[in-house]
Amino acid sequence: MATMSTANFVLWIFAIILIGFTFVQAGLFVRRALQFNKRNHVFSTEELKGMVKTGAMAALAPGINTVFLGLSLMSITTSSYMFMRCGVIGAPFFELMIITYAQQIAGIDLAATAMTPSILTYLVFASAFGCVCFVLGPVFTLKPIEMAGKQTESTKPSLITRALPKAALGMMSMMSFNYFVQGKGQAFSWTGGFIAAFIVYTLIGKGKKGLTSWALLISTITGILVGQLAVTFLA
Amino acid sequence: MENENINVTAETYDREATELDYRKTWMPQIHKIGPITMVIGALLMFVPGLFMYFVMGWNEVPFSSIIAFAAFVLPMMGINQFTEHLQFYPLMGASGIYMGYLAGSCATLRLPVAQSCVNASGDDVLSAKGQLAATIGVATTIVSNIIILLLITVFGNFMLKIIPVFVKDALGLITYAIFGYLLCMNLSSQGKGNIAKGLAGSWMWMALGIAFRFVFNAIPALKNFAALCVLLSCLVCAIIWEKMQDKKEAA
Repeated sequence: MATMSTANFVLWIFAIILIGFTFVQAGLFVRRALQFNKRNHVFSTEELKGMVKTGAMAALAPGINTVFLGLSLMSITTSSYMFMRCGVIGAPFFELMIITYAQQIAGIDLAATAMTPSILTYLVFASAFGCVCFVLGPVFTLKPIEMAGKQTESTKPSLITRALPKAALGMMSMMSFNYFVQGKGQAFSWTGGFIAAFIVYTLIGKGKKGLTSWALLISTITGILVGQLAVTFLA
Repeated sequence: MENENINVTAETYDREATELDYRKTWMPQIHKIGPITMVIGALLMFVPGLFMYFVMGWNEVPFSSIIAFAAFVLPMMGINQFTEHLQFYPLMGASGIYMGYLAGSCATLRLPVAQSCVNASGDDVLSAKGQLAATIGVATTIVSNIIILLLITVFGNFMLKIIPVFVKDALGLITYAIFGYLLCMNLSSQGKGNIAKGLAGSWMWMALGIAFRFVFNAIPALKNFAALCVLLSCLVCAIIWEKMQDKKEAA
């Protein structure tokens, strides 16, 4: 009879293959980007290194989210499942939702039933079906959008290119509003993040360029603290 | 080897020539690599399940349950998932979307990082410079996210034991704080580093987005697609606005 350790091992192998593929894709994009940069002298080597540092530092704050939701996911499934689903296509929160639906459909209760290789197999299928459209969407839509905004002979930004940032702001305001009205903690957390970002970017504007890499981390932690204090003291 | 490739200076940067080169050469490359890798990624996703079910024989859960789940989840989430990335395209561009959606956690991890890098570059996200910054930023998150996941795998059980409950509760607020940051940073970007100027030039679009939110939430058939509807409606308004501005300039 198959054991969970065998199933976990098999899934680890596939997790490494799938995550390896995301590295291949990123490598292809980065290679083209660097070739483009070399040809056009957009960024210097130091600026590129600074960009990588900014990316790595900025990833810390959202990474905290991954840690805690990833832990929750691992506690009800396996380490290999968590690694695969949080490293390719899925996101910890989304995977938790998919698992909840999958349990209901198959009549499985993971709180009461021990994980078996068959249940794990079912969850692997469920997560694949649960997010396949995320991956296929960009295949059909991104190219037409970009081609619509392409004006190869003119250096003036196209109508679409000028209009999109304005539309994005409208959509972001809508999403922010949605978050703002969800509850006290959420509203204060959003406000804390906004005000902290305002202060940090004002300081950056006044010459404190070193804060650029830290802006997201500072804003996020301030937002969380303000939100939690509001929940605690304004209850 | 890559170090040799990137060993350049930015002194000779010519914005107009770069934008033309971006549209003529880099953009087509993005749309060649992106779709192929996404389709391969989508197919690869099913390989572990197929192998475990048919080769390893871990098939106590009937295949009909898998089909039932697919029949439940695809109609329910498929359309939303299929169009979700369109909301993020104006915020991170094509290569960021391709990488972000294959690697996952696009909204909560890749988007804020891409925006931070674009902001640091000092240019618009859909410009060549902005796209270069977003590509580097998102690629960096792929590496850093895997490191984080490996740390969870190794130290996860230990961490679950030592983290106080109030810290776990507080971390549930992280997404809201990130969105507060994102809106502020977008205003900064619109105002070329001046948030007040960005707000003065953008309040109309912000108000429009919130107004459309109420409109689409009031229509039951469109409620589930409110974000996409708001984006498209704002886009139509912005195109009309830009056309009017062009006419004014021409006059």
